[in-house]
Amino acid sequence: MKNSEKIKTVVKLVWNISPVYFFLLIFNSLVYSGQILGNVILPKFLIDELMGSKDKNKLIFWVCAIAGCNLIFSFLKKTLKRLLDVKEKEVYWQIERAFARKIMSVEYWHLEDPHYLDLKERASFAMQNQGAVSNLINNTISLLNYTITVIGLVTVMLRLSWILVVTLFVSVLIILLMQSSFSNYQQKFFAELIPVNRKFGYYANLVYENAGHKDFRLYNMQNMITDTVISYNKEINRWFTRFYRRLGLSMGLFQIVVVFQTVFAYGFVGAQTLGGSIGIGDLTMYVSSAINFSSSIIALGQAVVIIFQMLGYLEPLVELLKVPDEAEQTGTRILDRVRSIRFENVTFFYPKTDKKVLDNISFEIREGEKISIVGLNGAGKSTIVKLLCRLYHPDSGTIYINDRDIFEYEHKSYLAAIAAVFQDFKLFNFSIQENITCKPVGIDNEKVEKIIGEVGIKDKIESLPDGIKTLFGKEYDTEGVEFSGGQAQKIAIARALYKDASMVIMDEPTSALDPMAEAEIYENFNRMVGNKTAIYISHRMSSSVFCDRILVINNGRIEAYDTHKHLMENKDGLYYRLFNSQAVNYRVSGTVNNF
Amino acid sequence: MKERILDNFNLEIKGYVDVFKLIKSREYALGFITLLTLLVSDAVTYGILTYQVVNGMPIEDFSMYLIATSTLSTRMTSLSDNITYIMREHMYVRDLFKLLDENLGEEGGELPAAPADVPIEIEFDHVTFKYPGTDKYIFRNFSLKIPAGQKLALVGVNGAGKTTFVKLLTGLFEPDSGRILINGHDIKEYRKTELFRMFAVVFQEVNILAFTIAQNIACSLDDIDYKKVDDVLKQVKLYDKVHSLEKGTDTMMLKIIDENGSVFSGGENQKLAIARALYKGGNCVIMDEPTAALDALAEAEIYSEFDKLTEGKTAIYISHRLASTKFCDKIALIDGTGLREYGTHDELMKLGGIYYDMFVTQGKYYQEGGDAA
Repeated sequence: MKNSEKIKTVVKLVWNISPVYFFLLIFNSLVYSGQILGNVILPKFLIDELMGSKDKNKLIFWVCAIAGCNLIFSFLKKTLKRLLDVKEKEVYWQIERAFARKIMSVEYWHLEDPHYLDLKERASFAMQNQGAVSNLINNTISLLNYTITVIGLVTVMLRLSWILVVTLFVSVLIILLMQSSFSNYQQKFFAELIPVNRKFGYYANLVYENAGHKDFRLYNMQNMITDTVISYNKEINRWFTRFYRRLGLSMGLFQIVVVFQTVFAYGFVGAQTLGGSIGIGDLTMYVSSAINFSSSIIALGQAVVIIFQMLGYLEPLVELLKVPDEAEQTGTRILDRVRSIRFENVTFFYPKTDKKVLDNISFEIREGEKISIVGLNGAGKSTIVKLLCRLYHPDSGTIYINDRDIFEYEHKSYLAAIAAVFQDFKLFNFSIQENITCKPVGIDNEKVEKIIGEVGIKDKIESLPDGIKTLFGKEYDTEGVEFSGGQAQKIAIARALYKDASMVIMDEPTSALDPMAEAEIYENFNRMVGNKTAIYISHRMSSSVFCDRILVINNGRIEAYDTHKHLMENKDGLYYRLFNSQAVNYRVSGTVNNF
Repeated sequence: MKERILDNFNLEIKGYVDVFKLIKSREYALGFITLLTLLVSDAVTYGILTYQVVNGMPIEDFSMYLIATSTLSTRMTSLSDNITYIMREHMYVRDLFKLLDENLGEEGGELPAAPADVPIEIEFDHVTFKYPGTDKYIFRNFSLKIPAGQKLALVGVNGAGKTTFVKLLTGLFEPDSGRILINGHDIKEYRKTELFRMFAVVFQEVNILAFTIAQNIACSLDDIDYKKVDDVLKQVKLYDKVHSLEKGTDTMMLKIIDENGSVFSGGENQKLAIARALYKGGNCVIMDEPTAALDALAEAEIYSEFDKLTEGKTAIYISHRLASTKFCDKIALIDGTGLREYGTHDELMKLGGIYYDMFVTQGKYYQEGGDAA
């Protein structure tokens, strides 16, 4: 990717967030170089006056001018710093937010594609660990500051002699060549370091996440993790030893050129003074111009290097931001309700693998039907559901709803038509009510009440201090409530039921529920779901008894699609085996049956 | 949902920026003092030097003093910046040192673990517990004795405290009152590492890390008994799957470290976690809902192997699937307060209490199914 393209994306992003920011940056640069120029030029007049007539009033005027100029510029600098500091934070977080929005808006399959996962990780690593955005912004500020300073100083020096300027430019050119050679090395270095850094980050972060700590203790995994972290640490250290050796060399050469620059500046301007063509005041001015010029160029060069480096870091972010939103990808047809679903010769591979999950499957679901999908782990049950939710594209074949390819439908209406509870659902740190309704306002309270009653969580919610308004989770509010796996599942089910969709999908909705709650939910399912079309996935074979038809998936193919009664007649079938393996444990002996 | 999250994000940014603005405004206000000092020092320096020159000081001295004072002032500024920086950072670092120095009970007592592979006796003696910062008691005066070598099924509704039981027993949490005894000694008397050594626990949430399969099972980088790894893989029926992979037990798990790493299904991960527990051995096996993500056939397999998996160890099996209780010696049914029913499957079914209700509810539709067959 070209740097110009990256700069364009970042600039556009920042411009959209805050145009004011750009004007502040430019003004800031003017002020910054203004102060340097003031301090270079004004003392000349003071010295000239001292060398000349020593007129008291003029002397007082120049002293006041120097002090006043510094005061005004310092005041402006501080004011701008205050404004820029705040703006910078805002811009930084808004970029993070734009990143978050993009991640939530792209088609879901990106999030399981290793390539995009890698991009996502690198993008957030660049922003959070490498501070790429802030560094880019800060160094752009420096770049502007020094550029304008350099231009000003060159203008001053041109008054003396173009030879001085040209010679300085030649030495600057040498410096820039050295810088760019080093910057190439640096960019390559950091690109190669990214995977190492990521691995290091993964292991180091393990320790900071709560998830593994029970296992770490009980399986004495501390050594294994610490050793791995340390070994990566050492590896990174070795990398950086090489890097800094190279950096030291480069900086050393650089300093040599800079010293020559200074020597030349003093020599040249000194000779001119001795020759009598300029006065002592001019000498001071030109020498300090030349020295400021050198130091500004150094800083300028460094800013350029860092900017390129940061642009390199930001490449994943820019690439991610270029991925189109899902809403832009799909059609325009409005889906009002689901009347029929048809899979036609659908084949699906896991993204970027040759593992076939679904192999040429075709089936149909009619309006209002309750379908159960059963099969062994890894048979492709969840994949069917995910395809139907448009989280992936089938590799071949087509999925139809109401006889139209599902990708013809418009984004929002499609989402509204389907309510799904996934195996790995998430509750958010909002109020319980919002977790169910997914919106802060315009809530149908009666409906919420009815649904929490149906899923059997009403008593629990009413026992909470703020009832349904209680916040979930402790992150925002120490009084927030935490649910057990089963209770959370009930909330997730309630969420799907609240959403007035004509089709409901439940993927393992009861795995964490106890038998009582599970039975309660099953018995109520059909009533809760009403005449909606529904698809259930469950390892509890008993749940399929409720369903109109059962889709048996075996190794990515459809083994059978029939009613429970018919399926049980085939004693060699997978369904019979699955059902019986569980049922046999529940055969209640004769005496107990009398209860 | 997306917009809601983004709105929240925006709100938090605003809040953060506002606080930041406040800090910066304060800093800005204080900055005026610096400005004043700057003005004074500039005026004084130039004033004095100019005055001196007017009174006969040579111009070269003027240049020298001017540079000397300006250098001095920049160095003084950076010196004071450094001092403030050190003082500020010290406050943060102090918290870290405080945390590092504090005794957070990670050492435990003195006792070593029970000898390897000998089952242990476990006793909860009038244990009362609630999670720190909450008011709800998970256990109140809870007592239960598990003789050495017993296979106990722990059942109860959601939120009854089954997982908490495990956390207390393994010393991850301490009871508010009462004692937990292993072979007659309070678990507090055992050294923490030794206490952990006695248990092989399969938790509900399985943590497979980005290490090789063998490392994930042995929980060690290089001290790995590969024959034992193969043995436990066979026991959990993962051997064929693992050895069908190119690098066998040296296959890296997850994609984060190695692009060609393996990602197992939920069920396979659960089997891997069980293999980890088997490899560890210990004196007591605890399985907390190990089959929630398994299909019916895989679940039946684990059930039928359970005896073998827990041979010569005390075992605690936690599950909603009451069918699993049949292969255990005793069943303990707990609810929000403590032990409600205790006995064998047949005893509890005869009792006709909560256990009976749960069992019948869960089995109901299998009965109907059975009839249909």
